Amino acid sequence: MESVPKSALSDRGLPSEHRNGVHSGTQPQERSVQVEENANRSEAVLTFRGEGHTLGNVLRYMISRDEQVQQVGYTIPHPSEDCMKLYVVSKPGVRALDCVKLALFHLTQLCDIVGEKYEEAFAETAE
Amino acid sequence: MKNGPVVARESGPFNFAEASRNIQVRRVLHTVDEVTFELYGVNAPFLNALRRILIAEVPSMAIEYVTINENSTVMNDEFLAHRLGLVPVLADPRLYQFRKEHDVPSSQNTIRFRLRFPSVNKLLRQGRSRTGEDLGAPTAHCPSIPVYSDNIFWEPFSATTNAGTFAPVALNMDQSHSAEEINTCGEAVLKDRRMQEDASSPNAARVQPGILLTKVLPGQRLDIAMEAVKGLGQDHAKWSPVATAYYRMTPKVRLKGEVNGPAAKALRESCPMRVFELEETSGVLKVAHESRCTLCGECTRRLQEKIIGEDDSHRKESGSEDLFEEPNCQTVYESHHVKVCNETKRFMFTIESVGQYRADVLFGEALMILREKCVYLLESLQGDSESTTTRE
Repeated sequence: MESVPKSALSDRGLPSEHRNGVHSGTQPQERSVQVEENANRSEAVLTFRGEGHTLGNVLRYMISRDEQVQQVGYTIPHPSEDCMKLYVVSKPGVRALDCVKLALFHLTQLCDIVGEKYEEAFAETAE
Repeated sequence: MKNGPVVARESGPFNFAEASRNIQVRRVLHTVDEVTFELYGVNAPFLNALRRILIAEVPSMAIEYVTINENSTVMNDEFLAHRLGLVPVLADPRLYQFRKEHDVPSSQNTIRFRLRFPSVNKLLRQGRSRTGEDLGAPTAHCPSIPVYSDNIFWEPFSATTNAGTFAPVALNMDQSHSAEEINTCGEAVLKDRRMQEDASSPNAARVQPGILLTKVLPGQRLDIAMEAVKGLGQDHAKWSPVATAYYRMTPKVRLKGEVNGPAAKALRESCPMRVFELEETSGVLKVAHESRCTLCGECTRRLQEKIIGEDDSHRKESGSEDLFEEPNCQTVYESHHVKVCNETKRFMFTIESVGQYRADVLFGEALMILREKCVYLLESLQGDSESTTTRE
């Protein structure tokens, strides 16, 4: 079968429509977080939806700075699944989830400080 | 059960007062579309999060829906649509909302553009019949005409008859023109003029000019309607507001004592980035442009051994001693003469904007997004802190 030249189609005056993006949505992904804890709450596994390495690594790092934390790590179990898991073990008597909350809070503080210093440094207009 | 720490602690616990005392930002380069700044006292994971957010999560506007009413050029419709998608839309994304699957297009979530080539104005000005043949059939002497993104015009929602639907201007230019048709054409011209007036208003949207879209031969025509929507770089790179966003540790280049003579010349020549310079009078080697260093290590490779005949007697070792005392330094390369290090707490961050945002606001946007992520998670963890699943 002869291939139809492309122009033959458009010359019929039929507008052809193109949708460039592959994904169905152009808006931010749905986010959620699920928590699993052990009986004495010193161990927690958090499952994040809609988050990846961007938050995972920086959160892991902030938690690791906490001296009440014994072990922390994050993983993305499978690249095609929108899921990030964070594993935290705290010292006995400390709730692991509280360490995560504290790290998140510290991260907002760090953002504020850096933002403030950045504003100061860039207060003057561009060259 | 052992209670010893298993965490490799890279730094001490976070302390707000300490952090606000330590963290420093210094502006290095500041133009409309590029910024470089030095950050001291922050760590790589934090900067990496910001870099990733800049590339993939700061929203911008890009052409997403392309309706090709006419395309008689040799370029395929889908190729052209893809090229159009990559043209930067110079509109502030903060003024628009995300358009969800079933949202009605409106001026709140969509920017409409139209590309007509040749433009209706031009056809009328030429005063000829608007058939392809009369515009000159392609011949061997006839060069192709480039079509640039300058031909893409904003089509505000107010200018179209039916808000929410396309009203393609009926311009069937392949047939000989009737009075009726001239009328339609005239209307189109009026509409074009009105659009150009609108386009001069300060809140007009436009695309980056000067981008070659395709080439046409005389008689070939394009009529394309486009809709730009807000999106994220993680969906498609066309929504990424940065050309590049990167950071690196500040390089430190130190000479071990005084270097002169042939060794100095050889070292200066060895560096492709021209980090070293010779002092004019004494001919002593000095590190003139430390920040240019790309850590290639050529300077340490070239002179592994001492140059024969080099006078070693007046070499001072003071320089190297200073270096060993410098904190937060990581040696990358070392040789008899030079030591190349990374300062692990001092970073150079460079952001190049594509044009949707001014470059200096991008970093702030990324910080806001990261902060908002944390606040959202804090809130959702606060909410269900009592209802978490417990397992053994």
